[in-house]
Amino acid sequence: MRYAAVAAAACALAAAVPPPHAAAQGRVPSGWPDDPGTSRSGAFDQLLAQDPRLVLRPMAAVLGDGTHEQRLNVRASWPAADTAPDFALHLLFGLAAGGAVYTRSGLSVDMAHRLGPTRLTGRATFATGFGEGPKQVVSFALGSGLPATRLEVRTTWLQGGSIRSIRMPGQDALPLPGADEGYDGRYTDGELSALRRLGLVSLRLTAGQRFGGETRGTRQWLFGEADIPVWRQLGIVLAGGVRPERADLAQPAGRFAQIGLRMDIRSSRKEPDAVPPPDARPAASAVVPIEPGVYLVRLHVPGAYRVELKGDVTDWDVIAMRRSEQAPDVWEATFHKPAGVYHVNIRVDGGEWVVPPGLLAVPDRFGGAVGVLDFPSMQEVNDAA
Amino acid sequence: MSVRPIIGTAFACAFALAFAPRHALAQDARLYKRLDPQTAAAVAALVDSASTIGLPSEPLVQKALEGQSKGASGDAIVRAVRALIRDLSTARDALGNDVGVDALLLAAAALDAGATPTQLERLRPHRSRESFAGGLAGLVYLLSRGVPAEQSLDLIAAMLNARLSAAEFASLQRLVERDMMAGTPPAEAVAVRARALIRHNRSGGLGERVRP
Repeated sequence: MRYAAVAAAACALAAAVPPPHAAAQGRVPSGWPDDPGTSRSGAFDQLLAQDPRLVLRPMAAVLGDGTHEQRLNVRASWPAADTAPDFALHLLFGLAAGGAVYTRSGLSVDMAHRLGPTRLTGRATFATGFGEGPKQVVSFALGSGLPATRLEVRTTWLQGGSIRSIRMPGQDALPLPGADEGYDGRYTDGELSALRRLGLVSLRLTAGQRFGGETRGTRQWLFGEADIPVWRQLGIVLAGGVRPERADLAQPAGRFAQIGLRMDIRSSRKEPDAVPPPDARPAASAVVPIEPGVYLVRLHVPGAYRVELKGDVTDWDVIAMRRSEQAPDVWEATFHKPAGVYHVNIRVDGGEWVVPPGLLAVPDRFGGAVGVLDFPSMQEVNDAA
Repeated sequence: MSVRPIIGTAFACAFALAFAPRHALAQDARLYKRLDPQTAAAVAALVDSASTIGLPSEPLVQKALEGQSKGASGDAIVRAVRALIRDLSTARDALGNDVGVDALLLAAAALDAGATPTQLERLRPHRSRESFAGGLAGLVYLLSRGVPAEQSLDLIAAMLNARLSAAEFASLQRLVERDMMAGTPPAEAVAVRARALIRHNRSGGLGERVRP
């Protein structure tokens, strides 16, 4: 246990000391190419200078033996990125009620390194708690995976406290041998998870095996989780299946069905937009080079009856776009122009002139905005291909 | 009265017409056809003076036509053209004389969106890259979405350093817009997506074709 705590501290220290190449990074976030001329600062300084993200997850579950449990997990993360960064710091807080009442808090450090198509990750967690769970928990996890699948091996050391009620929910303080001295133990889990997105809904299936350490209940588990975004930063999380005993979370093993909320709170600075925002409708634009000097512009404008375009591709004369024969919501126009940057606006069903969806919007110097249309050269097209 | 001076003048006029840039003649025609005579004359004078200092004239004419199509007053059109000349000139001073028209236009847009000439100068070492205009488009996008100018410059310089292609710069905007619609703050979405693009590029992505 002592070695584990020392190792966790060493990991945190190693992460806190910036690598030599970070010296030139300055304001550039960790992992960026060198940008000379900026000042040296620590990785933690850079990390904490970024906006944090707070995720609250209240949830309630029904277990296979008919008992209920309620949980609240809170995690504050730096940086606030959705995608896993190379280095991240998390502050953790958990509250479990029902079969076992247990409160824990701690910190966790993530490190990652990309190796070819795979991403190697490491996580060190240290937590302390009180109630019907371990007093101290140290956990190390190593993982690897492709974007949609992930394999993780996790070893957890526990020290102090009691986990009787986790293992025997509904029974009041049955004496166990050694209970007075508290619980010391360790277990190692291997988990394989697969993630799939169906529209906005994220589905995750996790299968695992406990390799070492004592446990009650199943040593194999399989459960699924669906995260359904409801509104902006609020989502509903449904989960169910068979889960392992996690003494570090005061979580008993067995079948379960769970419903919860995910509240994703971010600190964000609201600065005035330099230009009006582009049309927010879910639409897209594309420039298709037909031949050198001939370009087909395609705009996805659902539900439109008439789409007009004007810009320096037309000497700012208004032209009517034609509806695509292949897709009724796609509108097209062909232009004979040399490769270069052009500026356009569109009007849908006789409404206001707006920036076409998906185009870069820049101020037009007349109090409005105009979209930047890029006709790539054939060389750029070939490079992209 | 001798006809020799008249013939000489006629030849001179014919010579000038024959060798004058065709687009210059067309510009005048477009301006006088679409703008009121006073505004057209003022814009034409500005275009001429811009041409004499080597600035591209077509974007200036287009700016005037844009103003007319949007119902701007003559004064507003002249002000817009004058401001564009100022920004194009400043952008050329910051980036160098050998910058292409597209890059110059986007750099002027960046100045209009809040970048300073000193900040723009930081991108000068990258001006020979094929994706330079794409980088400037990315800079304009970041500024327009409220990302601070210094951070925007850092990101774009890093992306240009990593030799990202114009297509990858274009994809940055698509990805960030998608993240923003999901509630991610612009600065965070930009940082994450730009870093991912750089990583992707390093691991064999599209990349920029390096000029020999």
